[in-house]
Amino acid sequence: MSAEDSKPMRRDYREKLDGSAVFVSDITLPGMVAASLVRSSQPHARIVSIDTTAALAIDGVISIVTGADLQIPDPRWGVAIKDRPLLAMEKVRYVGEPVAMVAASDERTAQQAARAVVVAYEPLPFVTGALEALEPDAPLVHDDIEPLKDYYFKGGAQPVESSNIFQRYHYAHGDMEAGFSQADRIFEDSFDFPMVFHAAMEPHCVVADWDGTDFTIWSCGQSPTAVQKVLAGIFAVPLARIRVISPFVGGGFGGKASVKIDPLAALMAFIIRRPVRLCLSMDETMLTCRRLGATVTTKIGVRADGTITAKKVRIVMNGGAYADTGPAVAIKAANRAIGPYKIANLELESLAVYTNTVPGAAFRSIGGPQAVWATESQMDIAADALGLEPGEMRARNLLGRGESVRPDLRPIDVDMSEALGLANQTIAALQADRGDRLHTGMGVGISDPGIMAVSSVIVRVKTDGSVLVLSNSVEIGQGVREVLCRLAAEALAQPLESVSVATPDTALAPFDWGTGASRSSLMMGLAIDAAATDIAAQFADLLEASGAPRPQTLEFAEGGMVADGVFISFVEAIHAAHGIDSGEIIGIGRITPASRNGALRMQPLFWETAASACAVSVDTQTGAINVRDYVSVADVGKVLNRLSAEGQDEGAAMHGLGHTLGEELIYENGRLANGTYFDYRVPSILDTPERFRTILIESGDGPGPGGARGMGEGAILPIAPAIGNALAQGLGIRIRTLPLTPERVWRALAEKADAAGDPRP
Amino acid sequence: MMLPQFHYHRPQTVDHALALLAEHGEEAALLAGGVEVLNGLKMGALSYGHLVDLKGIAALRGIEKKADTIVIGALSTHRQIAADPLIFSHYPAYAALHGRIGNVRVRGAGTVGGNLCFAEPHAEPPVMLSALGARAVLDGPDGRRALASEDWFSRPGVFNQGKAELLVALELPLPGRDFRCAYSKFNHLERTSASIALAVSPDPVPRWSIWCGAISHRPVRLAAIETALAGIGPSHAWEAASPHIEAVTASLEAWDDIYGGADYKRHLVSVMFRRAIDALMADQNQGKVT
Repeated sequence: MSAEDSKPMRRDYREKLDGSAVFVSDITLPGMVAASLVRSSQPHARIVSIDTTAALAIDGVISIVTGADLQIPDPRWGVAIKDRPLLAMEKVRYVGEPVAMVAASDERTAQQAARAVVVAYEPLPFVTGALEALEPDAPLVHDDIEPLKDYYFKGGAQPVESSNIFQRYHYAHGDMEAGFSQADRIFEDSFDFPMVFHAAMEPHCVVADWDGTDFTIWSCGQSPTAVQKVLAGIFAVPLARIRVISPFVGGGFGGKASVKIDPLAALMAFIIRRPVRLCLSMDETMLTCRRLGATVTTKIGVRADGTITAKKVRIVMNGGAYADTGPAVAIKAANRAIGPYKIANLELESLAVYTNTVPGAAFRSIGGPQAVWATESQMDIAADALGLEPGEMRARNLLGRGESVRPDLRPIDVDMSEALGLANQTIAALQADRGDRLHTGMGVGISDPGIMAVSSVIVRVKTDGSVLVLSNSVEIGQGVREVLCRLAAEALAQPLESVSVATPDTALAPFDWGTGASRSSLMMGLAIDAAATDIAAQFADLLEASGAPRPQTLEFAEGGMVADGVFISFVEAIHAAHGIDSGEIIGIGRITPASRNGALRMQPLFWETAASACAVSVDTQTGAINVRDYVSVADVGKVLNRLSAEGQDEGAAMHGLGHTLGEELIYENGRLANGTYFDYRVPSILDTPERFRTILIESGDGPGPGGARGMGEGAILPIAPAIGNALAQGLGIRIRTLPLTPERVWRALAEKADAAGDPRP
Repeated sequence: MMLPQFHYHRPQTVDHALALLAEHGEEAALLAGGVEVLNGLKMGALSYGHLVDLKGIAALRGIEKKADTIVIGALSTHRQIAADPLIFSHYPAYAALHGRIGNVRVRGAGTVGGNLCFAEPHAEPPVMLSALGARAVLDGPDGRRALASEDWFSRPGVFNQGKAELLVALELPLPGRDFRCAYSKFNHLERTSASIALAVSPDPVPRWSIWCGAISHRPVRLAAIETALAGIGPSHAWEAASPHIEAVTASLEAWDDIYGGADYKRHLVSVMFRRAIDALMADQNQGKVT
């Protein structure tokens, strides 16, 4: 069989359709209680008192815990900076921050009691904007933080003392002064990207149990082993005594990466020694994490022919009240602002800043869309000023395959000009049969996935030929369970039906860094290959141990193997060695930075890229944009499951349509003004383009199984600038702030008309 | 989030409902479809000790012709109004409005009475009902009274029913021959940024009713445009109105909110006005009495 069928089904679809798929919220345990959070009503305030008397008096309330009475080894945690109390201690830093937690016999009672907790605050000056937070007189969100090194990401945060800056990243190569002096024109532009919500279908939910020595956590997290590590620190419990089980997850997109609400449920379970279920509403999930907003200023020096001589980027990101994964986001935003271009003289500076808002966090291509919005908009600005076609401007600067973005990073491993060419040709072909003339635009984006090459898998071959894969890759809807089945079936040459994948469980499956950064199919694929090699070696050992000569060749075949040209079934091989027809072979596949002769050490492991082109029409009277045609191109190396791969690509682009056209978390007076789905609208099927083409290039030269690269995050990069560029090309308006709401478009059109002395639209 | 605890009442008659309202006063809220009240309670934005569920009161249901009016029971759901033959034949644009509100669950549960009473500034039915000359029928301790749409929302977020009164029905005047109506709105978020509802009765000379909605706390009549269009049919309406539209919209009260800045909304009103006239023109049969 082949790992790739044309449009193969996924077996989890049936479970999800008939409702039998188990998510965390489906878990019930004997004696389980419900938890509910009391959340801060203040953006920044000292906690004067918390009165739980009335809440405790409610029938069914079991316990209420506040930040003031945390009797645990270390109530502060973080994954890049230890800056976060389990529950607010002494002060609150954003509206929605957990201040106290109630456990009660049922969810309704817990919520009722949470409402009955009275918190008195002494308000402090607050700051919600990142640029305001950099002002010398801005209120400090934190005064005592502890950066962690090599804890979750390699490296660490570089906070700036006595400021709100929790990460400052700087990089330079070449000679900036000389570079800019070689330029005929210099362009300096600033672009804004909003805070946006991940909008996974499933809100955060966790069930935690503590039996006095061991934790069992049913987590919706994308990184079960990170949950283990954080809980181990907070409660001083050995890693081996913390078991994290990951049922189906209803979408993550980074909003469930690293660690989110698991420590809270664990805290209550630790205190009351009963299983605790904490299930957030969607509104609460909006108060849990979001993408970092950014102001990106980029300055390029350009020769008259379009060649870039120097580029200087400064990024200021709104990191919210707690750093979470923000320090890594800031670094990646800087790298992703370079673009797939030859820049001889380059300087990058990226700041992530504390503010009194919902904590910023990883979000599908961390820092990427923010950076690419700026870079790709500016490419068109420069092209327009120089009288070049946008494609020509890019062609002058595109890196060829094998050329370096930065000398310390892996050279770019795909052909971006091929991808961009395909996107532009396809959009042009789509326009040929249109009666009306649409506005077209393009964009490209590249990202350096921050993949930690630390993944292991266990593959168990049973006597009947069935195969069980034990992995901690979490099924977040991307189809990883199906991919693992297919890869194991292929590596062991067994029928797909004979392979199954167990629910991730840290007590059974070995360590994996986590499910994110487009890494799982790739890293687990390599690990499965290694496990198959291990299994083959073990069968050779068995055959030898049973008295036969050690086979010179051994290849798997359906139901067993062919050793030196003779078929032997799995059960025959095991029977001969064990003396009974029972037993199993346990193959272990380990991937570390040393694997594959150290080839996985160089960062990034591969470049995740996207080229796109769009055709839009605009209702100039209202300003509403209608994306009619969209083309998304990526070199993914090798398609492992076409249905899922195309779905990931379309999904990433449509996710980006949200921040392009309408999504934005709006703060007014320190509060989220649109923190519900009544007022925060994500794209629906009605917003999708009439025609969407995904073109997946299979160059077969990626580092993964069959030459695959990771995918699923690239297509979110270029959609906003492609659409912004279409507006500039077609209507002569350049908008530098996302989202491109109808009102912003209309205002830009009105301004343009006013400047020209024309009537407004 | 889950609903907090409350006392649930399910009266079978209007009188019983009124008695419960009188008994519990400020502590009581009326429950119709539940679209707004239940969400408000779940989110903790509202808090009531007593909910008086009206769904058991048969007298609040049904859509029927009575003499020269069409009476819409307050408990009529969006879906029922959208699909009602009487409404559809006399006020097709109004039926269509209800057919597009919210989503299928909202349309199946939400009622026109609940929509009015919740007085959400961006709600859609009130502006169209205003243009159609609807009157709200209230029942209370002092008997029944009818309230013209000008008097529905004098304060933001409040429908002008008395504390112990109940909205029982809406009365729409039966339209004359060749009556036509149209509705046009713009929204980029869930709720409407600006809308226009208009109606024109051709006999004996064209007479217009033109209202804009969603830009402030209540629908507003564009009286100056109505005057400018007096005696003018739809085919020349834009020509006659356009010299006045900018001045008229400039004087409208509009709020800055996440649905748009005030000036943008005023601009949208004129765009929607033009589109509503186009909609009238597009379907010459629209609104014809059959």
